[in-house]
Amino acid sequence: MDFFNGIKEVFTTEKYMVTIAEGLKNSLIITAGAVAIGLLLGLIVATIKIAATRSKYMKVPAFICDVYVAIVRGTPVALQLFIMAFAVFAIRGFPLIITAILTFGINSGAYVAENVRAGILSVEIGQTEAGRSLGLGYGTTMMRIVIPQAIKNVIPAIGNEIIALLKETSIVSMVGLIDLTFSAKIVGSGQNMADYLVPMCVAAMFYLVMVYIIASILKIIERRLRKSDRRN
Amino acid sequence: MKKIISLILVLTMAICGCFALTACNNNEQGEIVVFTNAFFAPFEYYDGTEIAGVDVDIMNLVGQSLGKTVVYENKDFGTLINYVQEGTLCDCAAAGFTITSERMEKVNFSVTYYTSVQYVIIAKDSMTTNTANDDETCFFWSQLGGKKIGVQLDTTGNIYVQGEIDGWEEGVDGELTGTNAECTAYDDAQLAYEALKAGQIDCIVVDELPSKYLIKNDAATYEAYALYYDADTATLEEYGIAVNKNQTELLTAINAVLNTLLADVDENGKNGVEQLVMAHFGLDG
Repeated sequence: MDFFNGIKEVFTTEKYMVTIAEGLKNSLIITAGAVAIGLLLGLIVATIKIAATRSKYMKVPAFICDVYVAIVRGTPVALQLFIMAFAVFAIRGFPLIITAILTFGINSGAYVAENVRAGILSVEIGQTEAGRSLGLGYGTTMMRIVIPQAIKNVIPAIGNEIIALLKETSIVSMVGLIDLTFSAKIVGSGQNMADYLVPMCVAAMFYLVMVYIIASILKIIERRLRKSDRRN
Repeated sequence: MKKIISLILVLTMAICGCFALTACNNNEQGEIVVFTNAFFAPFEYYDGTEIAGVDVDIMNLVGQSLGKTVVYENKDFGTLINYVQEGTLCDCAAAGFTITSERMEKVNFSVTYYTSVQYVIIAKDSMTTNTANDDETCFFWSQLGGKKIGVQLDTTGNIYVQGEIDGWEEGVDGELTGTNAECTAYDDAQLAYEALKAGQIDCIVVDELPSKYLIKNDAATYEAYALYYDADTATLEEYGIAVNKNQTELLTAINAVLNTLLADVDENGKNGVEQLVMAHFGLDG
């Protein structure tokens, strides 16, 4: 019964809810910013990598992209955040939330790039050939025929990435930002409730609800994109 | 498709815009940046989303005396001394630091403003208490032999326990050497307390005042008493504020504020810092 009383206490104490709301806000801002940067970076990197298969001018940019993906995927995001906060952006008064958004955006970009590349490659070469033989240029074929079909294929994978990002933001407390997990820690620390379990469970509920909302939105988007499918 | 791409572009540009705006006005010189670890009530703790506490009150007074605003940021306790030593991101760290010679090599310390004792938290009646010569109920180091001891990473509790287990210097055994005592370090004291409640460790060594906060809800099942070497010697330690070695002006200002507070003794014989401690300690009972 103590546990449920504790949950009630968290929800009815204004100070605790303000703290958790602040954490929730930061988590969402970081996720939203990182998703925007990640999608943009991912699209660019994927396009360059695909283009490099037929154009020799793209070999050098594609190599740079390979290095970027290798480094970002090869190191833990916690270390990347640490380096960004205490080496790259070690400027006094620099807002930490921007550092966090950039770190997670750059991190997510590498994963999105591979997802998008897989999506583009999943569209049969016949589609490209058909477009080209109808007299469309390579760029137009890509933009008008291949990428619209690719987007549809990568939505589930991108959804995974967004959800993973949201939960990954829980490491930003390392550099001094209050995120949802950290706000639960504040509520649970000695001078407040002196118990971690209850606020952590409350934070878990918030994560669950947010992930459910994101998943629902993605479902709607996917349904609309699949309107023309004969699959159903 | 176009809509999606343009949306992404707009978002990115908006973010870059914020970025450029904030990058412009970060060169304010009128700020003192103080790093702390706000899980050390009553010296520093989160009151809602703001950091408050005795150290914060002291640093605000310092800010007033220098005519600067004071900014507080929360960092991992173990990293604080290195930040102060480097000095690019912060000027000083007020986090209830015990003055030790290792830390003195890296940073300057203010005058001592509080004297604390290490406390041991145990499940009630799992160890017998002793009475020291100054009538304090206490535990002796030797009683911790063979126990699994939880501490907060890089705090004096951690340094002391590890030192007593490994021996303080070559060939000199500590109080716990060879007793199979184990030291487990947690990110904060509350986590160590959760581990104690879960039965993963036998006791926690932590500073006096935080220990009282930790057990405030569980007074029936847990107890905390001071840690003594023997009946005469407590594990005393002295708190100071860590200041970057180049910030002599700031150090002078901090010392001036602390000396004023320490000289301000009220009718109960409590000095200014102790009055602040009492004020914050009463906050949540």
